[in-house]
Amino acid sequence: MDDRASTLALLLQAAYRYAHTLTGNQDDAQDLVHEGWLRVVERHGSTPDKALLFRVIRNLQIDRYRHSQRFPSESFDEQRLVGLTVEEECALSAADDRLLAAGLARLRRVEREALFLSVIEGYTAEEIARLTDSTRGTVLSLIHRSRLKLRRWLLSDEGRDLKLVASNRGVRS
Amino acid sequence: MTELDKRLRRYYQQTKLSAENIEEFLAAGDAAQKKSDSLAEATRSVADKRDLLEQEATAAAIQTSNSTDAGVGASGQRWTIIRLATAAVLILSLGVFMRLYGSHVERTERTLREVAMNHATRLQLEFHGESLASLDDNMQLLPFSLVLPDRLYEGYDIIGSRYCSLSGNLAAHLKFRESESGRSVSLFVTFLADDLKRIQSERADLDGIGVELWQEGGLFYALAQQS
Repeated sequence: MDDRASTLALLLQAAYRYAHTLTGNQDDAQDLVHEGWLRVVERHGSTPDKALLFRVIRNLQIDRYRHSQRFPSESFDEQRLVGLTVEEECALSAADDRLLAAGLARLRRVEREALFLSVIEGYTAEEIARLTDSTRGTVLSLIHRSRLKLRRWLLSDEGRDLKLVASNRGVRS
Repeated sequence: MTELDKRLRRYYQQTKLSAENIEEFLAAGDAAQKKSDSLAEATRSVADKRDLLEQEATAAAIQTSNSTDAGVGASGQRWTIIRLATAAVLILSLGVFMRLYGSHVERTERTLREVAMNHATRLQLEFHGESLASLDDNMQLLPFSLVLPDRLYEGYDIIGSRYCSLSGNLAAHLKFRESESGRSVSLFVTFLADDLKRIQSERADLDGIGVELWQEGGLFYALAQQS
């Protein structure tokens, strides 16, 4: 793979992680990245910047969410995220990761998004506010609340039980 | 970096596209760009051909006039007829083009005036808020999501919005305040309907109101402010 292809692959991976944060499942995330990527390439050339691609993906997801609200053939349910797909379960080899995934699924979408953009993508609160059309204060509050919720979940009885079940499953297999 | 951050990073490192997916997306992107490039090339080529035909028509008309004056033979007369017919067809085509272009100019002018008038009338806003997301949430009748155009991303504060009509389409009228000057700015956003697709980018000054029209991200935008 040449330099350009490697750069684009990294960009697509980042876009996919972001889309996964927004949608909570692999299939929707892949669709979102695919559609967003084509739109960006058609309009802005084949070397778009990350912020632009993220914005397009975010807008697409908002449109899809609205569409699902108007035409509720398949309703969007954040709790759906709690039940991970078989592929996702297989991918999460460590019990810790499974526990963390369940914790992330319990966050609100906006909390998950702010936490992802801050911790994984390294954006500042100001940049996240601009990207998500919010205020810096709101973003800081979202990040703080999501960290707090995640920590509580990881230490909760329910969380510990889930980890135990996952560990046992790992031992059996 | 906290322990939680480390765990999150480890988790997200595992969330990735397969190599096949990446290849598929890149190939689709390349194909989309090639299509877009060839469309642009075709548009350029048609424009070049039109220019060439116009030049040929002018040359033919001049030559016809010269040869008629000189009084040529039968073969010359046949050529004269062919040239005259070609010139007539070209003139007719030009007439049709001018008529279509005229209606386009008229539509653009009408839209520019509509935007300037909407900005100047200062009708009451229906929704107030500092965030585009909250206005977007309130304006549920719009068949699209409100997205800020690139040029308004910085230096403007959102005041509020209302529904309005632009070129017969349901539109959002968003009011901004320019952070530095405090000047009021109106942004109109509507779906890129067929009749608006022809208006690529326009700018005009109408009675002291500067109006700009453009397309971006599948939406049609109009910006109005005091010049």
